Amino acid sequence: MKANFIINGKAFEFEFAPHAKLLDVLRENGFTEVKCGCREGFCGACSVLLDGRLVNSCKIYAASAKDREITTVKKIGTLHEPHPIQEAFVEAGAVQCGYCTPGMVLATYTLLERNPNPTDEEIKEALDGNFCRCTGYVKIIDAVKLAAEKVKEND
Amino acid sequence: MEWHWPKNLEELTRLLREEGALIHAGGTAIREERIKSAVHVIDMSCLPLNYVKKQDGVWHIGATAVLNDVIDVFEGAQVEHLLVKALKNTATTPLRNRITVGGSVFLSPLWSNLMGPLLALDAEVEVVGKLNGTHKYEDLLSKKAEFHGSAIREVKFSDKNIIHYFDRFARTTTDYSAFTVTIALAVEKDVVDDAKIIVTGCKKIYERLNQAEAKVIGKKLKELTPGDIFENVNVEFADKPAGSGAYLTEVSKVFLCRGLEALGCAR
Repeated sequence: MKANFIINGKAFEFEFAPHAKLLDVLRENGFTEVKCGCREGFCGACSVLLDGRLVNSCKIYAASAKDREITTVKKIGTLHEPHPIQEAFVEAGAVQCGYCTPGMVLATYTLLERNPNPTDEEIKEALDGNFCRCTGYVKIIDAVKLAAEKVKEND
Repeated sequence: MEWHWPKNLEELTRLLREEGALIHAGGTAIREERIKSAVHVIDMSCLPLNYVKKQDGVWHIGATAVLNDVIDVFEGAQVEHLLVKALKNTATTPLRNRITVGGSVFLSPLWSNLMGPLLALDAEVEVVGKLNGTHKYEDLLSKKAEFHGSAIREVKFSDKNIIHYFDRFARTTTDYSAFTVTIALAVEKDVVDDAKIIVTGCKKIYERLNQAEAKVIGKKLKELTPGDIFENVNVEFADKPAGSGAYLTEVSKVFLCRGLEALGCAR
């Protein structure tokens, strides 16, 4: 089957099997910044924003996301123009193997959009679906707090 | 296999008559094998059913509203609702952004934590298709097979003035619930007018503790002694990863006592 998607602000038409997951359709079409982790909606490596909300792309049938707006981490910032959240993750030392980082950055992005001054508890709650296999959570929480400061300064 | 995205309820009703139709409310529960074997998949995401609203003292939740929509609306209205406690303990943030109320109510898996609260709230479901009309949520649970060929359009319940307790037993924060305990009491001048005490995750899909409820109704809240009320309660569980059946029976009793204590009873 074929369907249209708006990914990072651009329109795309993809062909895929009716049972294909959004994660696979994105990766097969070059959006490899969306990482494949557990495929069970457990780890959050495959996080994307669907119409602005953080979701696990491994748990979504591509067909059910047709005509919707999808945002990957590449829309947030790039290597040469990083988003303050990405800068904060680097500065706080929150990136180890880096596999969970795209998901962590997107989870932080949606958190700070809703709540610019999150408490530690609110940060943990917002990132509850994103697992760091290197277990670097202390630095990640530091990074989210630093990112909150940086985003406020940029505003 | 073909996907369909009905735009209105008439179209949905027509599609539900098709042989081999599978309803996808938009959530995460339907497995790939089930999609592969379906002839028609009816995706409800284009229907105007994404709402959580209160009208004339009744809460209405559309089938495609996601769990975090419910949390946001109740918290935004500063309502400390039984459902919020239950749903905040369900899955993770990204999953709650995707799991729909319609799918969770139709399938009523233990992990959605909805069953106890909806039973305590005397919830009803609005259904389209074969059983078009309003049905008690309790009937959906007990006669689920009859509801095949129907789709949930809305869940509704009165905005009751109750005090409530909800908790679940799980090994870790992100683990599935082994059981849930829901207590909802209507209290008038410190006297319990009505009580709903429900345990889910047990050998039966759920247990309503009628005898314990009878012991509570008509009594002053502060005069209740949880240990006496639940003395003869022995909810039966199958063995689970979280513990043996016998262990879960004991722990559920602890949760029941803890619940009544939390609601203001004397120890």
